[in-house]
Amino acid sequence: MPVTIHSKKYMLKVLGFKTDDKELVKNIESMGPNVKRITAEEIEVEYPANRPDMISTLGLARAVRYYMRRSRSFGYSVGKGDGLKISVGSHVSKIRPYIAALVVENMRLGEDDLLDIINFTEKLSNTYGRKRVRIALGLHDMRDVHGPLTYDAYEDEEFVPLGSKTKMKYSAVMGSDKRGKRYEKLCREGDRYVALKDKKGTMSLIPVINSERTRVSASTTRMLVDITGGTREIIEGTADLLAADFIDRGFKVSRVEVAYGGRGRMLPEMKVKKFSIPLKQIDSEIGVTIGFNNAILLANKMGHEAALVGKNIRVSSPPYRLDYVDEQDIIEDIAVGYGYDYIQPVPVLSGTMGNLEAKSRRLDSVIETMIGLGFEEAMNSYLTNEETNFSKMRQENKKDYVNITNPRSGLATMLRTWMLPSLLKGVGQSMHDSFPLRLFEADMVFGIRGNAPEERYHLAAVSCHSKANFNEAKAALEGMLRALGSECTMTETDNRSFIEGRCATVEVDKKSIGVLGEVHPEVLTRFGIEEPAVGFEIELSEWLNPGKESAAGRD
Amino acid sequence: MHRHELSVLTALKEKRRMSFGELLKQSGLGKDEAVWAISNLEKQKLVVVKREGEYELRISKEGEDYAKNGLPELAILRKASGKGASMADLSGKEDQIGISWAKRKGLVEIEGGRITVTEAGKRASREGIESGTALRELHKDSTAYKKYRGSDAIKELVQRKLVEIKEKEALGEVEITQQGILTLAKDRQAEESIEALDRSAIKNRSWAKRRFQAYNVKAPVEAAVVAGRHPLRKTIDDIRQAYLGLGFTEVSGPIIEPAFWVFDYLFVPQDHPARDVQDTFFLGRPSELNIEDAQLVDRIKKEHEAAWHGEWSKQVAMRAVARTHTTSVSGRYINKVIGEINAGKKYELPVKLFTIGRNLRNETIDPKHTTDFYQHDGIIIGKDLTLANLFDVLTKLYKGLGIGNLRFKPMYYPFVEPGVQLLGKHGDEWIELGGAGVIRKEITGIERRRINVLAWGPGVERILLVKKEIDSIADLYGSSVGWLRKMGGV
Repeated sequence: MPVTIHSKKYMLKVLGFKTDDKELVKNIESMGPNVKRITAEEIEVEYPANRPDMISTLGLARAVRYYMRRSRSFGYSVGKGDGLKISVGSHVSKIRPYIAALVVENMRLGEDDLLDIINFTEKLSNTYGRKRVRIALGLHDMRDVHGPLTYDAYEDEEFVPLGSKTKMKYSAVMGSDKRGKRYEKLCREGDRYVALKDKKGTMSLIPVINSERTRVSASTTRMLVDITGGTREIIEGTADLLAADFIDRGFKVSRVEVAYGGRGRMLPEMKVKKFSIPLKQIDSEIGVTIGFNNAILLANKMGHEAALVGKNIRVSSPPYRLDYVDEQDIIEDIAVGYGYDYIQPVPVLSGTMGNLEAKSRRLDSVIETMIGLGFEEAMNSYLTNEETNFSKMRQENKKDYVNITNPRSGLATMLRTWMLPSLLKGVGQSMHDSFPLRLFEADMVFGIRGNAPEERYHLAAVSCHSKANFNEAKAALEGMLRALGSECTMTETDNRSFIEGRCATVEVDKKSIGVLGEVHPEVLTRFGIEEPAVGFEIELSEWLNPGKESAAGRD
Repeated sequence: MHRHELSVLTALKEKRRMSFGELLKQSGLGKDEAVWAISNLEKQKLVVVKREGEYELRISKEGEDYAKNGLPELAILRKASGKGASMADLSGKEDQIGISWAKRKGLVEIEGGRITVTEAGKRASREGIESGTALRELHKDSTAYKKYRGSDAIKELVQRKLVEIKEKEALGEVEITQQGILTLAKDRQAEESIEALDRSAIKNRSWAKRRFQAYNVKAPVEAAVVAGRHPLRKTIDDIRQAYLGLGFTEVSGPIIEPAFWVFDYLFVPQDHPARDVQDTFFLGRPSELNIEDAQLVDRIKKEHEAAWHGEWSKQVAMRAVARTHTTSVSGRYINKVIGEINAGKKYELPVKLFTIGRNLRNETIDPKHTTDFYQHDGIIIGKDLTLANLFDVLTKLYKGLGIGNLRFKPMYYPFVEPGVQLLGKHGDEWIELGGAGVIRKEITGIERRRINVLAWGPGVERILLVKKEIDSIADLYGSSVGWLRKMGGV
């Protein structure tokens, strides 16, 4: 979950009532966020990814106020505005087609308010906005904004970027500024750059940087907020969220007209989503009996307005709720309002018999048998690299394995095709432990057949000590197979991982199931093993899933 | 005399004295046998044994730095030499450590924020500090420890956690005594007592006329190694038992999946951060996998586009990935069971399924993170299932696993609504065990009034960590024999 650090002093200021740490933490956590840390100065809160309205300190405090029943209803009214208009040009249609905007008026910003607003908008565009891909925001002081505005992709030109004293070309910002480099892909298409302009020129190179001219400060009293992105519903929803946030700070918000060609949209819309849910359904999904009056109260606690209509409860959801909202979400909110801590567990009535997969039971007897033979069970990563899987084992890499395109380290670049390499690696790391070293693993390996991935179960075992030899491994494997009700035969074979003449193919019912032998001294050296070692690796899939070739579950 | 004792004396006869290692070679005895025999002989004063301290020495990372760059107090002396320095000039952790040791050792004096070097300090600047010299030598060659054993320098280095030393006593040189030589000669002639009982002695009852040689029952042996299940396997076994006890049926599914079953079917939007290359392993061979059910693909496309806006791409859903959670298996079975119910197949509801399996995430491997991890996923498909039912089954499941104190918190996951975070009490702390909830109807494709699905998918390692002290979960997915043996047992 994403994290915000709130100033505690500011939090208490916007909460508007006195509370102690314990009560505050309890109420925040009951709504879903986790309080990671609370000190005299700060509260560090993980907020749920679907609740960007809780990113700002004001938004979190607003939720707490509702939850603690200090607020009961919302009424968000926005002004008509003074006719400010943004015309959207045709060149943004492929790169960043949508814009919404709003004007905030009567602002009296304290340093703490400004800090909260800047943190909020930054975090909003990084998390909910997917690092400005989905949403980017710009804040502008209206003092020096001269409408009408145009939003389009323009050819290279000059402006003074925020924090700079001199004019720079768009292209120069891309090359020199670290944000330019990071967001160039989102801003530039061919030789055009996405920007918002007024009569005096560039207000913002989007989503990279604003102009110095429209810089917002604590003395700003009128502010324009622009929101851009690729999905209309999302950026217009964000405009609602921001408008609600500013109104709850005591400011006035008025609309801006956004025109795509001829049609104009007056934004923000301040959409209130309405739902009508039978009370019976709420009770039967949560598993408690709530009652009408209580249902209204619980909806209120989560910031909704609610009323009774027949046997239904009618809920109006505030415009700042951007999470995908249908009646399922409202029912969850009512459960959260009720408090998960107060929901009494109720048994599911059913008389089913538990049952294991046949595979699990069979794998279990293989494990049991190997332990009976004195081998210790190892569990290694499914991931390995070509060096361990092939080179160190003196095997050729035939590129017939499942590989990874985005490994973080050279240690995990492919899915293992066999398990002996990881066991030998483990033995090599255990030279200081007392001998004999006997390890086995019974688990999955991966391969490709045709274009389809294969998931198979193998059993591999290694025994390492001064007197380890072929017959020891053979005796162990034959004993193991006999315990499982099978007999095997061995045929001499060449395998570069093993000593020539001391290696065999293992066959059951004339079908090869694996290999057994004395590990080649060169292999031993590569794994740092200083004593002789013997080992085997066999296919188990047939035992585990009789009659089935590939791993279970894939249709 | 026991034959092992005899072997030891015989081996010593010629050379009179030899190291324990050589004695093992000469006598042909195993380590335990030789230790036992020598300790018997020593009691009878037939041999004299020198014991010497063996030791293991480890230099910490901080220690290595100092070995290379000198102790931080020396740096302080350098800074304060000449005109002295002011406390305000010092910054950083190194300086803090340095000044505190320099003062403690009387190398500097501090007055009114001024640091001046004392006579001892000047000497130390010229000649070095004993502990610093020792650290440097130990870093070069750990056998230098013999020279410093018990010195103040070593005590200081240990106290500062720059080196760590484990001492253990071991046998050194063994020498035969005059009495030993005599006894050896005598014993060779007279073989009166029985050392090892054998088949013929039992059959012909020859033991009845002789005395059994007494053993030293206190002589040390190396305990036998007991092979066992991997600690993670035992945890998985416990979880299986708990599910069986609650009447669940086990299922399983693929590790390699199209992104569809890992994300899209579970209502995770295509631009969700969990689908980032930073979190999920994308495969190159195969790079794409087919999604079998075209109708299902259509339905999921519609659900996504209605809820998340923007376009849903089948191509993105076909990307081959290593599954990042076993919830993909739950998803496959939710789809299968509800599909069959819709097609008219009779199921006795509720259907209760579980899976325990390995998942892979693109993590940087360190003590706290591994690429591999296990999850146990459970689902109940039925009618009129409630959040209260979910709390009940999770409470019982975890009680069965020895975690009796559970707490439920609201939590957001794209696939459930309501969503639940599961916390378990470990000592005084609440630790996160994993997620749960009621599956969204966009996934099941059926109104909740008719059928709903309770689901959960907590981690397995967490349960193990609550029960055992494990420093590094990276150890779980290695095969270091020493670690496995340490973790062995019940």
